[in-house]
Amino acid sequence: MDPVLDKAVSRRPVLEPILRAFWSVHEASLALARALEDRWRPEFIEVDARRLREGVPVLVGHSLQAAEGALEGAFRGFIPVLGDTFPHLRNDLDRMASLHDGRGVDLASVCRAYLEGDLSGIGRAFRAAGVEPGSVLLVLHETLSAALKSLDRLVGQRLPDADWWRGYCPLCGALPVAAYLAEGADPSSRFLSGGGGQRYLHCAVCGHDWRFPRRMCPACGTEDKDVYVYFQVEGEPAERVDVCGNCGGYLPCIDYREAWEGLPVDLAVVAMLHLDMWACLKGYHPLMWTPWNGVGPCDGPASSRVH
Amino acid sequence: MKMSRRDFLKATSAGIACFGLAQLGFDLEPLRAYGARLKISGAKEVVSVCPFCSVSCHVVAHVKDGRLVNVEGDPDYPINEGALCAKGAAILSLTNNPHRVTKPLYRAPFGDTWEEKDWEWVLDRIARRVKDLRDRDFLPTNGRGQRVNRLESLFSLGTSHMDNEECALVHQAMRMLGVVHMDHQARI
Repeated sequence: MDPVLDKAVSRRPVLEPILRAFWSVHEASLALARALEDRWRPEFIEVDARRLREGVPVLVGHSLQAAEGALEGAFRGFIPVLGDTFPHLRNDLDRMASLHDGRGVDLASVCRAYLEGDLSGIGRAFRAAGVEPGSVLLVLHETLSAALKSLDRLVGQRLPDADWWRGYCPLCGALPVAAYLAEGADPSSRFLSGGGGQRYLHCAVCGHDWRFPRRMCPACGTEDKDVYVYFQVEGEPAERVDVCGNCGGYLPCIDYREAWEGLPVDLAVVAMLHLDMWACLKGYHPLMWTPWNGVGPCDGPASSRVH
Repeated sequence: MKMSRRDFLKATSAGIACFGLAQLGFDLEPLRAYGARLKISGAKEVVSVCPFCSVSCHVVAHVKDGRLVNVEGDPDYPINEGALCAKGAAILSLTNNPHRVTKPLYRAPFGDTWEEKDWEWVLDRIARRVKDLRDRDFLPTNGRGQRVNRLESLFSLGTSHMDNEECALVHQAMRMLGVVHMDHQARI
């Protein structure tokens, strides 16, 4: 029994199996991230302020070959976790582990390709061995995620989150999978009320959070109030989905001022899958594919969008 | 050929490499049924400026179907950083307030009931009373013969919901008449 998980399940019972599965994946990812901190070489831990000022994320330009220790640890750690969570994928997972043991795949290269969004080249070796592409993506995502979460634990607090103002992650360069509106700090004067509501983006891969304008699309940068709008279920002000009529992207958003306090973004966003489904049906697409937001093909006609 | 994530998503929708929760073994039918029952509606966020004082805090107005449905402090504006004073926090009531008086009400001298009047009657009545009072009490000079051009028997009290511009307009109108006693409930 986990009170955090129970809180999410009680809020949306229809998602219980999905919430339980991805909560165990999330917990395993955090445990691996803690264990992998000493696998990173110093060059990754150095933060170059000049590069960041120019908008270059920490990982850009670094070869992931030098991070093989962390990736290796995450890969080996995750295969059994995913096998337990998704038993019908065990054959695929075993094949991937065998292939990796036999040096039949360069883990650093495929992880770099995944991170850069070049999905055509990745996993060719895995697919040749008969592994389903979806299983490859699942394993690569979770491997990278656990490894980069450990890097985030080392350097995340030294990143300029408050003045980054870009739609991609300052650590790994990935797009966000969710946003949240922060709770307000105690106002400096008793004559003030409210506060908070600052929008933070949550990286789909490394889990890093950074500040971003409330009314701007992270993917295309549009600030048109008639184009970048949000939708929510009536009576549920804590959850919404921001949609962009310019690029067609959508981003779930949690308002921590209204509810969900104590629930990590990675769990809260899974509990909002009904909004992902709605957005997909309306013809929008997620900014980042993740194992949990594949609620179905985003095949809604563009004409069904609200724009 | 390079394939971006967006291309990949398009590819999945075409069924080439479809992978999602269903392939992980989850039954999505209950979620679809749940989603179909929900009433989902949209709104947009519009930045505006609080009209109540010269600090000019920025606010985010939530507009749904052309109607204002919520107002909050703008978290991205460096002056108020999402916070508002008590008056600013209640700014929604400028437009959405069931207690708002929408027609002129008149209470006769020594009367104890309010009656609805049309604007023409009310404006004529106010103009007549102000004109009569000013004709009677206007003081061009004070006791020492100095020019003052003032009217001391008329007092202007504005509502707490008067905004900056309304205050400026009323102020100028009262000054024009020579009124020196005026205030409004700025701090309420």
